[in-house]
Amino acid sequence: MAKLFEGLADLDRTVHEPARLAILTALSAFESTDFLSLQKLTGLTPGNLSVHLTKLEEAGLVGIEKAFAGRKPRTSVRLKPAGRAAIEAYWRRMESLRKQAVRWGNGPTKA
Amino acid sequence: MTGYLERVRFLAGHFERLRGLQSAAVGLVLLTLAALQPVIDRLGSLERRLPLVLPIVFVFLGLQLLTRRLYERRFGSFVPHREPGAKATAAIRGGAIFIWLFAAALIDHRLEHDLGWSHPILTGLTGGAWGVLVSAHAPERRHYLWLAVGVIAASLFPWPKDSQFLFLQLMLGAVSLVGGVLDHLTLVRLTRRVAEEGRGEAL
Repeated sequence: MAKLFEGLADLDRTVHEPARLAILTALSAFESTDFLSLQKLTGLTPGNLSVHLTKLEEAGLVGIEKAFAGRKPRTSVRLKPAGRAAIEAYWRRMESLRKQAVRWGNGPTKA
Repeated sequence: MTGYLERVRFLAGHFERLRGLQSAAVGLVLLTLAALQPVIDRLGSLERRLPLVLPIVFVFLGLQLLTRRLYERRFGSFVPHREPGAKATAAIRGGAIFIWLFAAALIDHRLEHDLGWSHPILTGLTGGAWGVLVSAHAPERRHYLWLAVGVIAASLFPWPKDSQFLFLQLMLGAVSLVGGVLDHLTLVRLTRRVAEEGRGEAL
């Protein structure tokens, strides 16, 4: 049981925050995506999305490119290799914690 | 949080396929061509058929362009992440399904001529199996299960003589049109839902 709580405590805080987790999860399905797609996929408001993207960029997990398509500004976001590794490791870890929790929950009834 | 994240994960993984108005346009064209088939057949030569078929092709291309623009404006643009070789695997799989569908229609045609069997059951079962697979892969697209049931049920009815390819065309058209519209509605519903949940998550 202690292992389970240690595992929970060890989770990467940058990734574990719900909005950032949603952004990284959504980004993991794409090579790159624009701001609007990411907003539609996560349901975050433009302001919140922008704040969390900046934090993820500072953590070196995502790359942000700003360009112009004609006269319109276009923000393109992509997962960096470190970000892809982090989100994949996160989901693996969550799955293993889930299994531990199920085993822990089943333990006393089996015994 | 779990339900919200599951929806985000599902949406991201199926974002491309849920842009269903593009396949609905394919379905619309296939059904139009099926409806016009007797007229097209009566016209005979290719030169006489072209003035009828070409506008349909242009309408199809226009609809594809229009729906692509619509999705880019409303849902943004993206480049999907694909593992190496995934594109080739998908192309081979898609090609194999189409070849098998035509082979199934040919076998149904032979069965009709040799045994008098007028039910396009093999084509219907193939289409139905594909629908079952799609819905099994993605619970939010379970409408393909109902479409599969509809296709199999339709193939159990006796069809007019030599109508196996018409059945194939109608089946692909109806599934693309109805499935595409329902995919689009699923996309709209899910993005609305994550928008409601996302505002709550991002405090």
